[in-house]
Amino acid sequence: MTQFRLVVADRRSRFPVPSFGLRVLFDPDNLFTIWAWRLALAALVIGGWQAAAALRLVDPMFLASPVAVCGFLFDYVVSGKIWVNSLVTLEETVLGFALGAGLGILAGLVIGGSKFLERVLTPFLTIFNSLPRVALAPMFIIWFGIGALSKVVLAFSLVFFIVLISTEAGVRSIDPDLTMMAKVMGATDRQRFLKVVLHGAVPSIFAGLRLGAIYSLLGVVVGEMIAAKWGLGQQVMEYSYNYKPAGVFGVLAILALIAICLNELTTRIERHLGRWKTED
Amino acid sequence: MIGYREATDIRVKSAGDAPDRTRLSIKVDRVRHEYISQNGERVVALDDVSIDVPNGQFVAIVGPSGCGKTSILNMLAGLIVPTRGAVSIDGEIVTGTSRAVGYMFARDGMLPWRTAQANVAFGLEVRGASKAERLAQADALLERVGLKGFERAFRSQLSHGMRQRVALARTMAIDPKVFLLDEPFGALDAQTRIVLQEEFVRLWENTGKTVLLVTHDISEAVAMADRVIVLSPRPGRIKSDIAIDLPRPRDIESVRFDEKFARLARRIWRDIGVRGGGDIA
Repeated sequence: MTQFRLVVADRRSRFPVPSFGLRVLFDPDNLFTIWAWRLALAALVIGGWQAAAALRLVDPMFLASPVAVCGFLFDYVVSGKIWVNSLVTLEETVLGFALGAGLGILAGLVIGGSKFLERVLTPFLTIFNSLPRVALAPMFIIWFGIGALSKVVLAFSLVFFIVLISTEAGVRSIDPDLTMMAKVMGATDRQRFLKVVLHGAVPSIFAGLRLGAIYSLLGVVVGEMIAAKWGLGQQVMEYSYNYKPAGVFGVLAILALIAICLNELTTRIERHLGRWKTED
Repeated sequence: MIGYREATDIRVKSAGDAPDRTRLSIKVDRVRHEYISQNGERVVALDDVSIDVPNGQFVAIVGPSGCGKTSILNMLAGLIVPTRGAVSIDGEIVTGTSRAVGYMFARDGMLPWRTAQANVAFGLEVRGASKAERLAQADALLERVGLKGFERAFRSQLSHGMRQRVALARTMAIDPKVFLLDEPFGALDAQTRIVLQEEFVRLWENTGKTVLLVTHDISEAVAMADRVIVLSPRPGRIKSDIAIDLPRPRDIESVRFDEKFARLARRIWRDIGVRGGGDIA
């Protein structure tokens, strides 16, 4: 009991803070304080970067200033190039993700549900999953051409194994008490699978999906960087070949934005489905 | 669907009726159970065990740990098959899991993503009862086990005792002919344990259901049961079979101070043979 209270008391400040009114400045629970610090930090980094560029501390050939990046992004939007390339990248990412996630969940459920399959396949899965598949990207280009297919396949190969392994782990982590309960309550194998195993594996499956979405984007961009006609990855390559760092950083900013949106989207879907907790 | 209807019919018939004690409910017939342990040895858990339980009787099985008490319940639930001999319920030899049996464990087995209500409704749900029907039934049972107002609570919001009450309501919801209880109160603190023992007996008396309780708590066995069977250390054999002729309805709490209770408990302690070096877990 005493220990529990100590931990609670300790939660507010993990390190000693001067007590003369400055406490609010370092209050980890004050949303305003936290946002003020975040903005200050961002301003410091971007300001320092701009200053370094303006004072010619860095050769503009290597590092574009934030102002130059903003200028590039403005032109990029106005010329419409942003939409063409983003759309290609997004399409490939979503397609690779959907295929990889769908088949990954299916395979994970089948393998997780069978001790035999699990034992036979585990070494192969470990090998495939630890293999850096992006290194296979050049081969995928040779096999599937420089069009969208090679990028989709690369994204698929990343997502599939991530989702498969997390699904399988989710199925295997089901408390045996629960499946035993379902069995003695008269649930059929099918009911046990749907009402207990699948349901219990949902959190783990979602962890895999969230990771998979980001890796799907990664796979597509790497594929585009090697050989493509369109896409944000191809744009990064084009601008760096032409010594246009503002273009490289601008496209990277767009990619970061897409990655954040993907992450936010999967988190929201998860939270929405999280309502499975409240009804039968 | 059909399974559920049958279950309701039985409930209507059995309510208030005196059980037909001349009929046999459970028959354990010269059962031997062997299994291969993790280090590859063949272990004889039970040897030549026969138990006849008439309809509506409450039987407790006690014995040192590892004597195969739980194996008997698992056989009756159809989870394991005896190496030799057979077990039957209502004259039918058990070959697999059956919906006539309600099995309750020391651990509650509540599905953490379901409310208490939906947990209690689980058995009716898998039997195909309509949603309105099963939720109404679940609410009624939760009230009977003293959990009115906790219908929407999740496992994480309930105490150990309350979880075990949910498990009890869940088991009662399928209206089994036979209750198999594997130390259902074993994981509870001493006070909660007595409260739940009392509640189970109160809910069970007059239902005419047969109960087989496995426990290592001798007071629990004597206080609750009509009959206590003592098993010997491994391989488990029946050492004694003692009728508990304490009156019913029984007050679980005060019966412990009864002189007859003390005599019966002492006799069981002696049969288990603590002083003889038997291991009581």
